[in-house]
Amino acid sequence: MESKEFLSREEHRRDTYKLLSECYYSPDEGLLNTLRESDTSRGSLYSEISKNSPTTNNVESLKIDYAKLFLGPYKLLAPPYGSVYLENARRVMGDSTMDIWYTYAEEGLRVDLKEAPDHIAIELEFMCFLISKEIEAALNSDSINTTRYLRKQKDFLENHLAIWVLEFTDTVEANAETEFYKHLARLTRSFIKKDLKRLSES
Amino acid sequence: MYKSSKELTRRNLLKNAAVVGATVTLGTTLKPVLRAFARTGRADYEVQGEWRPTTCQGCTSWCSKQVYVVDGRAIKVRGNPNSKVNGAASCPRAHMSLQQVYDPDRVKSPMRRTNPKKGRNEDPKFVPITWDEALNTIADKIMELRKNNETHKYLLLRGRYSYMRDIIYSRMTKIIGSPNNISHSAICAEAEKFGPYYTEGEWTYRQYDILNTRYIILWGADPLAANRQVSYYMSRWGDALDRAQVAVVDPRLSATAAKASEWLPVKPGEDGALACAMAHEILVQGLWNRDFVGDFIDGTNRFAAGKTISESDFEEKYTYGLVKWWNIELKDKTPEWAAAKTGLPAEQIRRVAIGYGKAGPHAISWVARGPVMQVRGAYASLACHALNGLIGSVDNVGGTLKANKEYTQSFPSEKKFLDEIAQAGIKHKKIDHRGRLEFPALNAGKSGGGVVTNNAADGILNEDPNEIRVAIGYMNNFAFSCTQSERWFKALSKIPFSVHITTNASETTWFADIVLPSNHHMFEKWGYVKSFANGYRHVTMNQPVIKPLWDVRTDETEIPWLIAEKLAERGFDNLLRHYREYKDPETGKIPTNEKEFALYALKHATHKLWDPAEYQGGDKFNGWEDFRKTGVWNSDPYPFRKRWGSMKTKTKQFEFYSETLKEALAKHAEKHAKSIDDVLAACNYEARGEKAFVPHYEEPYMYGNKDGLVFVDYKSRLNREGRSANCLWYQELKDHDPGDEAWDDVAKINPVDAARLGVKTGDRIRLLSPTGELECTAKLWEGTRPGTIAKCYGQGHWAYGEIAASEFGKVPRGGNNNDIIPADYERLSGSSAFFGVVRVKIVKV
Ligand code: SF4
Repeated sequence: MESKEFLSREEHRRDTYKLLSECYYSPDEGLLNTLRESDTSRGSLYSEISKNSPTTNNVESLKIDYAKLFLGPYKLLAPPYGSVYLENARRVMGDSTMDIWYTYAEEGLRVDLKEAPDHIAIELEFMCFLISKEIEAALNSDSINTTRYLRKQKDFLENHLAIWVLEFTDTVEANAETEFYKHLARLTRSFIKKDLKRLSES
Repeated sequence: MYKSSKELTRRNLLKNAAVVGATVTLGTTLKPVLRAFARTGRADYEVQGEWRPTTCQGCTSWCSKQVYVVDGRAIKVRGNPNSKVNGAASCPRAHMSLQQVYDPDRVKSPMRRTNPKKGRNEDPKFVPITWDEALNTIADKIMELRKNNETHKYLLLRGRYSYMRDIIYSRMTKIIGSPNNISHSAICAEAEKFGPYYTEGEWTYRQYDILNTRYIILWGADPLAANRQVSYYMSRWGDALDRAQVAVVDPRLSATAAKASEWLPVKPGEDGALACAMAHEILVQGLWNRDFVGDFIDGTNRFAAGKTISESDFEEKYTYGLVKWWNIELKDKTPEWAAAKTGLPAEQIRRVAIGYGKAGPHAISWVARGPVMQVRGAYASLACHALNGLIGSVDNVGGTLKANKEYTQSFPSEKKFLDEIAQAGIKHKKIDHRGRLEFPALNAGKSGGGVVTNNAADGILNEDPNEIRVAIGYMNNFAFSCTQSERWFKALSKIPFSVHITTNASETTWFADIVLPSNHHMFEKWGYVKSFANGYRHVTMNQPVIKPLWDVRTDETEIPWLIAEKLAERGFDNLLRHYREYKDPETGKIPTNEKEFALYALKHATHKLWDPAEYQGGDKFNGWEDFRKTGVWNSDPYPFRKRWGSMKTKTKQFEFYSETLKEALAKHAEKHAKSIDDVLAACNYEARGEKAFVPHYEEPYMYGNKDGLVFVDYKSRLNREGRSANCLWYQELKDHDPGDEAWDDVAKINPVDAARLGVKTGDRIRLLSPTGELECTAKLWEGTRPGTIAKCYGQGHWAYGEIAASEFGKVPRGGNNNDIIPADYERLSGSSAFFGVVRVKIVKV
């Protein structure tokens, strides 16, 4: 069995990806509650996001900002789709999207939301999934699969998420009107940067 | 093992979080609850792609298509080889549909406006809402009208459509109780149908037998770029050119003109003069068709310039009123007379008229929007089309044909579902003023039979005949596509509650309270359209060839059903009970949800095409599935010359002197207790007396200073209707329109005029008209007739998406032509005037 320390760090990574993922869905009370109630002792990212989470009566302004940045209609100020950044054609469902689609399928998963597979929230959740598979293997002392899933995380970041997330988060930061999304962008960027570095070193 | 996202709400997530201590941590032993994913097996892979049939409505060609789908993604498109209308051919803009369906700027979820103020400079600040919330709000607003007996204050605005249209456009509007279903037809090409109707009794577009023709005169038509059957004409035009001469009448060098044998750069608005002179010349030269038109009793041609002829000297066969036409109008309309009007050399007019006359009856006079969607365009429509009558090409080999017979059927009648409120509601007058003295809109002979689309804005603004409180629009963008569009900004802002159903949010959406995401007609929808060319008619289906990526619904079927359910919940179930009558013809099943309804309605409409037991003609199928897989039904071949002597005119003949028009005008005049001359005066026509019943010349009616350049508006070959400006290829390939530049919107000026005005290529210029202005780039181009300035319609969006606008919401890319074209009308047909209607001043920016 892996060390407690290792497991706790991996759980933290997994939960962070999950929390970030949740933040890129259309905001509502549920999200705000999650943020308000999240355990700030679990690390800086939690406390950072929740510190900037708006109060309930601000959901409307958050929604307006969310729509302008990620949902539309009209010009998306920060399209949340990988293909827009990777393929230079400003459209969804490009070849890079299909590559992701196959990657998910290899893990026995298909997107069950009305969204493109390379939506930021979905890619972040996929990372959460890979980490939980890694933890599962680790708990079973299955070091082959632990390593395999670590490698998959690294590959996924290197081939997809981490390539476009920098430009994406820069765009969010530059265009968001609310502090919440500006901050979310900064945290997403720094977290993924750090995470990739860690995965590359390990 | 993993929960599907359906089971996962944020509340679930929170519950989980609560268990482990008020964080979203999932706990070492808990499986993660996934929101976006479901389990799948490798079976979801499609080893190979598949060509699936559907229909393109990128323009009114309405081609049958096939889409190549791999792993649920649409990859490429081609013509459906099963169609005898378009075959495997595809125009260039068909491919852009892929960029439309996968446009990240599409409407993806129902949205609600949060900014209560409406206006050009008021950001709507839309937020996402659920379908339920959107539909509840809409149903509440409709019920409020019903409660107050104000159902006539409901308005349905329709743009492009499939033939599922009546479900939302007519049935729903009537059952709610409103007379106000306003279509886009009058900004399309109603005046183009005027000529054929009042000569041969067909209020419709025509097909042209180009493979058997020897001469084609195109009046503003550019079949290699726009108008109808572009895919078909593009694929066969080369063959046609092997046999036929082509003469293009157009003030600018169109794509087709560039490949033609003659270009006649006519002065805008003078097409009627040219057509009359050609008719004159054909008669003087004795080139009319004896089999169709008949002859002088003694066989001697008495048509000579300036000479009146006795009607009794000529015996007509399948036509009516030739000598009357000559005496009333043609006898003095020599090529020399027309040369002065049109700015074209008399020799050229004569040469084309003789070439065309000699080629008859295998020759085509092809009328498009340009010469007829003008303030006084109705008579040009008659004159240009009458040339077909003279040479006997109507309904003839190598000539101009109507549509073949088809056997689709209409939806069940709504009559018994109209309650007292609805009965009273629909009796109110319509918001577009059709049928008023100054708006005869004589669609198919009926006063007020047609729509006056663009005038609805004035009706709304002036609350004349009443205010509009609730409006739903679909597949339209009147705030962009109607002339003097800022009237629509105001009108839409004035409506207290409006809904826009659309794939891409547009200028019209900007003013909406609720936005509903519509699925894309080519990839995501059940529907059908009818179209004709190549001697055939096809009925081709819109099919959902891919699963929509976003939370969209079908505009014409699913959304009205969902509204009907909500109305029923509120105690008004007439609409739902009506829709439940659209049973599946195969099983007799009553629809129980919006998806079944959409499918059953289509199966019902096309029943006689696919059910062998109901077979009437054309292609035969052995059932629905067979038809669905093929995607298209083809008619029997065209029955040539069947209509000679049995046309749907008053005299049954092809009317050069239109008794049909005379009767229609008389009825309209009578309705208003006025004379026909009063009607003509109210409609801004010059003709009085007998002239009103024959094709004749009318001086063009234009706004703007005499020293300005006449504005020439035309269509881009890349316009998918008005919906492609947010496609990358549209902008990148914009220079495929002759004279245009990529990523820009250029106004083309003849170098002669440019030198006089001190304008160079690349200068930023402003075009000023009496009703508006726009900014664009100047381009010197010999393809523009001196005295005119030509600019493609299509650019100038300020609210469509990232690519369409220069700076979204603020600065358009180029300018919208409709901003400078005054809102005026060809009133006999109700059409908006887009051409030969305004002179503009140019200033450098
Ligand atoms: S854009 Fe028009 S011509 Fe081209 S494929 Fe579509 S319907 Fe046919």
